[in-house]
Amino acid sequence: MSVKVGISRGLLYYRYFPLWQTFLQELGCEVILSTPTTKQMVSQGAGVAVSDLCFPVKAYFGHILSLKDRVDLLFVPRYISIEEDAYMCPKFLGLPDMVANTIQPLPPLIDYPINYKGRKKATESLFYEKVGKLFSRDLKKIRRAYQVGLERQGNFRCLQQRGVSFEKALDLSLSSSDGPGPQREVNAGEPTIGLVGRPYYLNDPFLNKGISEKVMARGYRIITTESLTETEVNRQISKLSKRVYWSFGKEMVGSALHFAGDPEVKGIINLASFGCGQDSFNSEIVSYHVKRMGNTPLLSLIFDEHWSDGGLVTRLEAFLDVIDRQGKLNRKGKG
Amino acid sequence: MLHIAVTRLFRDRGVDVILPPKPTRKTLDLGTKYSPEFACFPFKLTLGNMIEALESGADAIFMPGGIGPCRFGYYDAIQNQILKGLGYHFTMGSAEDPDRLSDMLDLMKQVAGLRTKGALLKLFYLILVRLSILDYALKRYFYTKPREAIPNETDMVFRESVQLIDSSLSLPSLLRARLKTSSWFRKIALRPGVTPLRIGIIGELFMTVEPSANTGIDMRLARMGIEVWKSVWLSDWVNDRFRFKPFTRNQLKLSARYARPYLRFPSGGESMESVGKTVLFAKRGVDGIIHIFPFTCMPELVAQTILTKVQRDLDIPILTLIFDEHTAQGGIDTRIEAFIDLLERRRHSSTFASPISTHPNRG
Repeated sequence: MSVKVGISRGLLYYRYFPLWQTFLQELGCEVILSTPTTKQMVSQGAGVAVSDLCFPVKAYFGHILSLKDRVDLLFVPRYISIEEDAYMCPKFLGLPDMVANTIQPLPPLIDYPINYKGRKKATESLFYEKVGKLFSRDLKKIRRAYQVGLERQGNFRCLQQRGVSFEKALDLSLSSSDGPGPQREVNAGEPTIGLVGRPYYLNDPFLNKGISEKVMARGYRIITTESLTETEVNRQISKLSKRVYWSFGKEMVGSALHFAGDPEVKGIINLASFGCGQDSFNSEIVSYHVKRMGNTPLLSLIFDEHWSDGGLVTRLEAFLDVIDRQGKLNRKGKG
Repeated sequence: MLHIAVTRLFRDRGVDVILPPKPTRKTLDLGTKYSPEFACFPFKLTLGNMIEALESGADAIFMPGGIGPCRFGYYDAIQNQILKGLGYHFTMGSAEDPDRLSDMLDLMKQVAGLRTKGALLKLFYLILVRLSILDYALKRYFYTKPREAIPNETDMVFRESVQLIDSSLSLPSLLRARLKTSSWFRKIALRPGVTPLRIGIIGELFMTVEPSANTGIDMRLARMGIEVWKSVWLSDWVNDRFRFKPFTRNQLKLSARYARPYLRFPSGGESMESVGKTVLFAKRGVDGIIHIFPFTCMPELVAQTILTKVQRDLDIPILTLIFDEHTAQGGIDTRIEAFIDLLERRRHSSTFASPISTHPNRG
């Protein structure tokens, strides 16, 4: 019987799932994924968590709660830093410890670190070797599994950068047929809205209260932080007086600046967590520079675990009305 | 404490140091007004402080920067951006990585205008020694105050020692000051047979050290007849990084050892110290722990989450106080008093039959 490894559909799932799943499956594990976030999960998660923790972490606890009795092992890696000049959020640094000390009883955790900073380096390949050794003694097999995983992960990110939505990119990259994926979508003249946020905010419709559908329903095309390549982000970041040293913060700021300089993007929506320390600064940098770079309207939204989306809809509509009116005025001016 | 350690030394070297006025309600209001809404409390207070300093004529501001999971490293960039946006003209000095000695020395070179490395090192060393002696005096104060026989004698001695340390500008005179402080404190008459309640204060460095940020909670606890232990001391914090006192124990490593069953990797800020020292304090017999940190502080939230388990495992009461710009002393006092009552009752129910006896120092 194969080992059941649980992966919760939260936080870094939205960035690394293709790699995780491929790697574990190649080694003969059965991957059990928690269901999409539900209201009940979040209430349960919030019930065990300290009240000031951010919404995504509470949701993550909910996922763990729903998984823990169905699996033999839980995959909660400790992502400390994924590049040499940036850290992850402190909550990712302490995530396995937080999970282990909040929820009990718990199956054993796979919680090796990934760290590119400081003296105690633990590279990604080292991490996967360690994880692989839990399931197989064959180092070659482990390395091969890692390579296959990397390939799919690469495909997945590549698709995202071409503007394919998260679910579609996930499906395409995991179904192993390697054809040429869809090309980067050509803009058919629809006005575009830039969505700025962390992967889990952009892609979990429960966390962001379906904001992308709401925007698209008004006839806008959406372009997100995830559609930018690392080089594009770094080019924008190097303009700042001090580099942002959080991986996701860097992406958020970089993409916001990129969108602000892109004439096709008519408005920027910045998604942040209530009480998120990094977002408080990221949003400040974003609004400062977007204001300075021209007149792209910017909407900052802060999310938490309260349910009603009336406030969101009101603000979104007002924001889109402003953009509509700007578009009309511009067209009149030209004609 | 830091400003006492630094100011005189710089003045002695011909730098005109403008001490921002002691942070008040107005400082905080100023800072809050121009800060991002969810910025943490230290950010708002220091920003307010900077505005006041600039208003009174300063033309350079020094703020250590850095890179880490915590927000502190980005303070300088955002504050610079905000202040420039407000129309102030000044230069901002910051250290690339405050954990590295060479960067700190560079920062000091900008401030003090010293040329040789030897002079810089000496100045740096003096600051650190002053810090550690000030901390020493404070530690003695926390031990003696709840045990003193004559009311307010300890306060007087403490004030005098701080003055003495402040006016000692060379290494020999500082060492003499330390000896004197020690003997002064030893001479204070203690009430025999008193075992005051012990409370450990843990949490984020700035909030636990800066009295205008935490409403002077440690001193007030001491005056209420409580023996206060603190998890982070400014001098230890500096010493852990620069090892200027090589034979003093590295507190960070010590905390990491005790925190090991709960927290295995420091998640920024003082999270490791908070968890480790809670375990240590509990094992050494404190009655309760007060955990202090600013609202939305990420590292301490991780610590708080983990402490819920520590609290259950070691059976130690923990009171969490989260500070932001709306904190009023009244609210804090109520909670502290309730907490102390709880601790007192716990102690008596476990050792004596008679339930409540009030401490003579508490009215």
